[in-house]
Amino acid sequence: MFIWFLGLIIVLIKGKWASLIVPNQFAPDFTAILIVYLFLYYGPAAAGMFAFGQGLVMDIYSGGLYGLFTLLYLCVYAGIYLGRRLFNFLDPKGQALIVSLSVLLEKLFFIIILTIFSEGIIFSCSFLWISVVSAISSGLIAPVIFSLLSRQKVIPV
Amino acid sequence: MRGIISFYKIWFGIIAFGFVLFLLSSNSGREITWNSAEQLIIEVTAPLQKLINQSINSTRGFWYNYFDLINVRQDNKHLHSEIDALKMENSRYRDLLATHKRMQELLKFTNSIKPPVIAAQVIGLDPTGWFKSIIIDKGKNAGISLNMPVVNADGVVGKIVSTSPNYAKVLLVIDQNSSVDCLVQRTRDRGMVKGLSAVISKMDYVVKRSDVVADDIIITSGLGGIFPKGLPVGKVLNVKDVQGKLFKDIKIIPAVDFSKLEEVLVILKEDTSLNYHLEKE
Repeated sequence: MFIWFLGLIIVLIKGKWASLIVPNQFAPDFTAILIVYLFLYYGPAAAGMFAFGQGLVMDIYSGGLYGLFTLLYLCVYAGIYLGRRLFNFLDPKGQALIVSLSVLLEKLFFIIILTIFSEGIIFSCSFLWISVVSAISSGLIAPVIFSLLSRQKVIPV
Repeated sequence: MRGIISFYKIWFGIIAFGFVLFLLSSNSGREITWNSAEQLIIEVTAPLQKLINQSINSTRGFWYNYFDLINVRQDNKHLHSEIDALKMENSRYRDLLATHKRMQELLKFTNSIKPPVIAAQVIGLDPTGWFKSIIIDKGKNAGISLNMPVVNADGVVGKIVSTSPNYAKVLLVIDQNSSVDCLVQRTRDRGMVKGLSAVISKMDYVVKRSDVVADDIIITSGLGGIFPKGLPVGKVLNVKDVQGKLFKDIKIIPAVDFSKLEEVLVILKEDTSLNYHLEKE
């Protein structure tokens, strides 16, 4: 419940916070990090539901296509499945790599979906940089957030 | 038992994926508004967003005030010398004001029926960063409906794309999915202004024979059916004549500073496109 509330708060303040500190696209994807956290500590079902719910809320607040972010966070979920086959989920280094891989997959699908459904956005070199920076920063910060959440005892007994 | 669980997992995945595809395909190519469930989510979560927004604003205000106090002595000296210069300037403006008042009376006469406006506070920005939209703290209960134009003192901000009883979503003119029918104020050439980024827009479909130049003012044409005529949209940044293209390549600086958007005005008018669809039905 706390993670759901945290996820909601992130969606609500993300636009305002990002406009003050750093361009939103470069910022770590905290929702993706929370999905990975839930997958790690609560299992695939909780992570899947969280990804789906948070995607829907993001779609309501965003000016983009309806369903876009629901699909993207399900891509993050799929990225975790893929990542845990390649890296060690229990190791902080592995967690960072899994988060980075998931965020990269999310960005890849983002550009594919927008190329199909929207005429305005085209792939550019800057988009590639933004995706890489966001994926790396998400991966680097993920083990720290996992550790903080675990210290706050946001893990199942 | 394990087989049954994996069977349910597969079906759950298929249903979730199908639902997302349905959402995506249902709104491609046309605008849709919030449905009842989404309105409920907005009504429940937006007060929280409003509270967070107010907290951030007051913290920022307090922080800036603190720094302002540090510099206040230096500013005081500087301001005294500025006051003398402004006194002289003031007398000139008084004269201009008298002329302006006369002109305003004349304008009131010609525009005797003006649409009413309602002020709203910006409580949230687009959480994704890829799209440009805002959430405002006025909705259907305040008389706001779809496609109403949103402006501020500097010019066009956007249009209403979704409403709930107490909140509404505004698609900003700088969004890549937004387009506004506009005029170059000086030359009267028409074109479509589309968003590129938060600081630059482009104006499409301006014919090559047009003599539009940098610093020309762009205003709404009133032909799109949403924005009234004559609202400032931006200023021409540069104009390029690209060989092999039918139209000029024009970049525009938006009139509104979208990074400092806090209050907006919604022009309350009838949704003409909605009426058109109803008449057709």
